[in-house]
Amino acid sequence: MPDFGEVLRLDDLHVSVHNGAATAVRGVSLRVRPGEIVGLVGESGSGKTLTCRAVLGVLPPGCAVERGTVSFGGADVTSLSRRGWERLHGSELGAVFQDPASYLNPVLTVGGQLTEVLRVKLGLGRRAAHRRALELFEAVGLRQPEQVFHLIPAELSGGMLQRVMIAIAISCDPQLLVADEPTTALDVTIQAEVLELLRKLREERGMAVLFVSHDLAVITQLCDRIVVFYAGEIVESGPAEEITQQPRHPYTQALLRVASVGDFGRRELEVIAGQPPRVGADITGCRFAARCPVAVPECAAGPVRSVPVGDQHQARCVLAARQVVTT
Amino acid sequence: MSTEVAGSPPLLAVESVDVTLGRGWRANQVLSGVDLDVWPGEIVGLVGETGSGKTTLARTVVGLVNPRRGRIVFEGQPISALRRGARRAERRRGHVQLVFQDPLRSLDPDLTVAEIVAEGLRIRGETDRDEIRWQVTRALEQVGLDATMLERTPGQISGGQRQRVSIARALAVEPRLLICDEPVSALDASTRNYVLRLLDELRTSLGLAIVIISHDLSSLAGIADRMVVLYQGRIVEDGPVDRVFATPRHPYTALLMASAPNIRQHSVRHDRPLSVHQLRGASSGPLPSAGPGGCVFADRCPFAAAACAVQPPLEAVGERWSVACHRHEEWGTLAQIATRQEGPAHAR
Repeated sequence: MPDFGEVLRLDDLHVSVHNGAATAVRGVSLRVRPGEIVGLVGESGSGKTLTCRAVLGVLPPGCAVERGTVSFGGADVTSLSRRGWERLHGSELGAVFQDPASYLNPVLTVGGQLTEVLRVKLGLGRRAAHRRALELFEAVGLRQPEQVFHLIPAELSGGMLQRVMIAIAISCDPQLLVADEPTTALDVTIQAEVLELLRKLREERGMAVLFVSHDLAVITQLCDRIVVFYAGEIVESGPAEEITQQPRHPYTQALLRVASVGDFGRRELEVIAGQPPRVGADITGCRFAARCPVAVPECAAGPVRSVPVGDQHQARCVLAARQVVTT
Repeated sequence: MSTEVAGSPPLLAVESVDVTLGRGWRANQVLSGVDLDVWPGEIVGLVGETGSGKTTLARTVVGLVNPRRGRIVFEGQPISALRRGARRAERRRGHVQLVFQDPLRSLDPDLTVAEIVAEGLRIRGETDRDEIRWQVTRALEQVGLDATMLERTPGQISGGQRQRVSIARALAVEPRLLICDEPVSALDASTRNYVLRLLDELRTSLGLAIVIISHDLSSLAGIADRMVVLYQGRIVEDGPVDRVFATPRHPYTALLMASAPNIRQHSVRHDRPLSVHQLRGASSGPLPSAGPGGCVFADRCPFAAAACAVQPPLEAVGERWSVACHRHEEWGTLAQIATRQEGPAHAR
């Protein structure tokens, strides 16, 4: 495979939870190229958020990288010191989360909080930082940046706060922006605007984005490549168009059937039968086999490997592998 | 579809209700002239953005908030006029029940499922333990949960099961009207569809009227009979769900539809006649100030004209279909003309 260079690379990442009692992320490998928007999608508990926290070096207490590596811009950062992570955060690596209000100081103006970052991280002077802050507010689509600069978080709406968070995250021109459910708490009209903004920033700055959401429709709207998580593993990954039009893994197919299709017609609301396995459950074969409508005995026999099913398109399914062999 | 009998009185009638929260200089009018009828066996989808007054409307209907003007009539009885003891007696009967968004926060983590579901019955004055036990089991059966759930606490069950427990809690007292405030927005797609299907079955089997507050238009389209769109405390469109979604008559409804994420994004988009850009006016500035007395949507509306300086009344545009827009007949055509002049607006 030709190497186009990569911003982020995960190799066989395992993340343990409950102080090592269970493994919630089991062997995740993926790469993000410069300027690419990659979407991680899956149900709650599928390991997508833990993966993205491992990328940011901010795993919750009791969780740890058990095995595998996280490389950033070619350098292994898996066992980076706290200091080392702090240098990366804000400069090379930006992050946006679901609830912007809880990441901002409620008693300081949003402009002040942005200039603080610029002065600490880039060493800008007071005037220069102020000027740059206004440019950034403008870049993220906040009208009348001079006015917004002097407001405190409580005076801004959810959509505007998320724009402020994005402004802070991109303030030092990071190579990668990690966005964990950034639009889940927003209204649909605002969500559409924030998604557009992320696309625009990628085009203008060539910044790569790792976007996490449980909503396949949102992921499809935004991403170039989709990575589908199920019970701690990647079950399918590939170009967004291929994943939505020719999904090869039965779980992806099921996710597409239950997603919001956006045709606004009256329809039978489908469900995926059964429950996902418990976090860390010990399953020999395919982890989706118990819920899979087309499972064969072979599925439970042994570990299922991810096989290429198209250009840059992989699926972890016995049946998809068979079709590859026959064709 | 709706089981409404022509000419029968509605189960719930919200009549030109104004609600103001806060006092003095803090007073904030949250609802203005809201009219809404709900018939038995009907599912009404209530949509609108944060701060549009959806939740306040739900709270007003159950009597947690008093309207400043107008009244709430339930089964022919004006319940908003009731005070003190009479109000509490009405609440204890439990004919209107609320189901909340986040069951983890709305259910007491220390109570077992059996205790949670029985609470409404105890409040109503039920004391016979066998009777309570029987009612609890029946309510859990109605939401597809079995007796193994009874002794568990909310922390020990999954998110979808928790939301079913909160629906069972509401059903235990045999309500006539269920108001669900964002019942599925915290759930995964599959679980969301399961809960919505369950609500759809309950309205058929129990003849319940259900109001679902949601921001996910696409899943509402799957089960609702009627769609009510709220914007800044006013109803801007109210009509049969298939008609409203086929040809939205208010620009805000059209904007909501165009903004909804879509997995068919990458394929052809001719199911969407108008792009989101054509429907989007100014926004994302410091909160815009609408001219007093003007149309609430005017400052975000690309089709606003001089007439829009006056708030349009909700007027009928079809059978059981009404819209509050001065230009409801013209804006669609105007947008089409703009499209032809500017060329395809689908390019990102």
